Amino acid sequence: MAPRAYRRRVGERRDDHTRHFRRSADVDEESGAQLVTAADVRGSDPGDGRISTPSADRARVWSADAPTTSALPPLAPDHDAPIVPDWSEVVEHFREGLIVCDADGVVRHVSPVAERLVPEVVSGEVLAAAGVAALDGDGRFEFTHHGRRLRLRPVALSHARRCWYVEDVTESVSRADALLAERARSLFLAVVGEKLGNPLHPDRAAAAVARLAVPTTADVAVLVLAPRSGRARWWRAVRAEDEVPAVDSGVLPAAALPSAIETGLAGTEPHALDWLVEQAAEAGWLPGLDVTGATARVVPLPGRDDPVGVLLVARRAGRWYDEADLDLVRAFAARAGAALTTAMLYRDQAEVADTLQASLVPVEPAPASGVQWGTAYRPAQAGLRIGGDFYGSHRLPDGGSVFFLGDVSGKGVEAAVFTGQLRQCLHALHRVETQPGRLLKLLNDALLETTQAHGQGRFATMVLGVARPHRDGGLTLTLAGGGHLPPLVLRASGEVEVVPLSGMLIGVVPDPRIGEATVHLAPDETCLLYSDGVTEARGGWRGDEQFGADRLLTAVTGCHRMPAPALAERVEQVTGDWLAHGDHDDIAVLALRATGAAGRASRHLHAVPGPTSAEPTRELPE
Amino acid sequence: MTFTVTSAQRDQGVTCLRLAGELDLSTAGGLTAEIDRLVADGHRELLLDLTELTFCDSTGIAAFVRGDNLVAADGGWLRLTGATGRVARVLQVTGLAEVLRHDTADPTRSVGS
Repeated sequence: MAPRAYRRRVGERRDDHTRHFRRSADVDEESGAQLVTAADVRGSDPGDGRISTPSADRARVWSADAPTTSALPPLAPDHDAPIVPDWSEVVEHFREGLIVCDADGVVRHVSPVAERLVPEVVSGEVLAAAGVAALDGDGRFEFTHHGRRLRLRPVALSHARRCWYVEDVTESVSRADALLAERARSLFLAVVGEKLGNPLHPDRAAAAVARLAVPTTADVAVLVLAPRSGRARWWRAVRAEDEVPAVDSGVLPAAALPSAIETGLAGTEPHALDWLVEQAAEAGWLPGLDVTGATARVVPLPGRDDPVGVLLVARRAGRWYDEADLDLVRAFAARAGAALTTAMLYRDQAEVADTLQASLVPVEPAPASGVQWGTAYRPAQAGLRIGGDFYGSHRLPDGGSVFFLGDVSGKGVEAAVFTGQLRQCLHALHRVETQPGRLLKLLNDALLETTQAHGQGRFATMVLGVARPHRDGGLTLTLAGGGHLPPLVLRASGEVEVVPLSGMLIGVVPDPRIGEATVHLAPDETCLLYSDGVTEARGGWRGDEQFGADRLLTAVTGCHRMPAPALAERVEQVTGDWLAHGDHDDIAVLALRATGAAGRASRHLHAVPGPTSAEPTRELPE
Repeated sequence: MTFTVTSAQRDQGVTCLRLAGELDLSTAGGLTAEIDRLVADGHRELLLDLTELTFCDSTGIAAFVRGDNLVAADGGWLRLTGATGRVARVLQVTGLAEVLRHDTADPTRSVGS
């Protein structure tokens, strides 16, 4: 009793196992078919024989039920072995089913396996009567019959008889398909990783995410980013036959987002899937997609804390999302989320950098009556747009202007930040002190704290002056020197003077000696301030010779009729021409020209129209 | 052009650094490193001999100022001597010649104090 029961239990288990496997194999087949076709690898049967071979018990039962077995003709009639095995019994254990026809096409033998796979074929009848088209062919053939994938191999026997070997390859095919599908998924994710690998722009990354989702994971894919300031931006890719999917984008108020999207943005995949398609259609996201029968899923894109967005994928009728598909969508979403998070982080940082950089770029001098300004600026690191040189001006309530040009030690961002501090200091200090010498000392004291705290030998050299219109139409310049190169004055006569201005570095000692000088500019005379990037520019025919003060004097001699902007540009130009190679110090030039009679005229003319232009407007903070 | 700095102990605890060549962005780091090394070894009174220095730009100036700040914090000093030509002119323009002039009568007057 015991062994028998045991055997039965084993038999039942095996039966259960087989059925279970078939069910899962069906699923695999379906998902596999969705992703790839695998005709080229279907021959690779692992050959373990677990599935296709019926159990011995079954075969015996079937053979009992099938009396046609006895009609099996001898397979090897030419050999007359005295004792041959019971061939029909042997054949029944083949994984392949067997159909044998005689020369007239009448079926003479159908093995139990063949009977099960192609029940239409009946022994004793003409094969063609079975109505299975695949059996008409001469070559190997694979076809789907009653939901199974069958492989047919016809073989000619002696006496014009024919034999068909029928094999059920459903499992091996689906296994190969599943393998290929897995490979396709891996490949897809690898491509996704590559395409989203270096995202620097969130918009471009978002568009790429939507585009990559189609067609592998969806017919329509909509990426919705987490709302910023109450507005949610979305990108959509729609599958197009034989084309790169088209991507468009739009904005929705956060309040108008479908509830499933909100659920996704909260970090969970919505459970109620019934209304997903309707919700997406209502949002206008599924153009040209037949809503009936379509399926959709919403998957969050993981961000740093909350999801960075959600991905809605939709397929037209007939293509469900099974677990394997969903896993793929989730894996895709994880990569997309990481890429978008990085891109947004980069954008935020770039915004900060741009804002800071913009605040450090020299601001053009404020227009002032009787003064024509000219400036030139060429930072050592051109790509940075900022450097250690600076210039600027502020209007004074009495109609004059305070102006300055200088150079801080060091280069690049660090130097630029220091110029920013310095300009901010001046911006505030010129309101309490307008005498250039005293203003420079105040600035020195303010900077001394910073420079000593940092201890990196930080200091500035600069010329600072106040220009006030003179009765004769010219300008009176009161200049203070803080260890900077002395300015030049281009006289109307054509003479070029060096202003005798000395002084000490700013930000080094508590009570620096500040040089002072007063210069009168007649109308059409120009004062030129420049940084050492001009005179120390290295070039010439040897390549390392300094431009020098003498060459600068020569270069501007004869330029006394030039407007201030042209003069500043010329100085930058000749310096640039002198430079042998791209490597140079920051270059800054500030020219101010007394506009004389024209300036006075314009002052009178512009004083008339209204209070807004007559009253010099306070300049905005830089 | 090359830049070299050699240091030698002199009497009364003063360390003398002899600078030669061109002192600019590409070479100032060497001077800064040498000053740092000397300060780490306990030297507090540094005299920089610029007789053989042919060029000095703002990064060189920065190295001088930084060095002086460094030793002045411990009651020491850094002074310059022997500058000629272009180097003397740069020190003149920046006013540093005045600040870091080597004055045997009163070498303890420091920049930062």
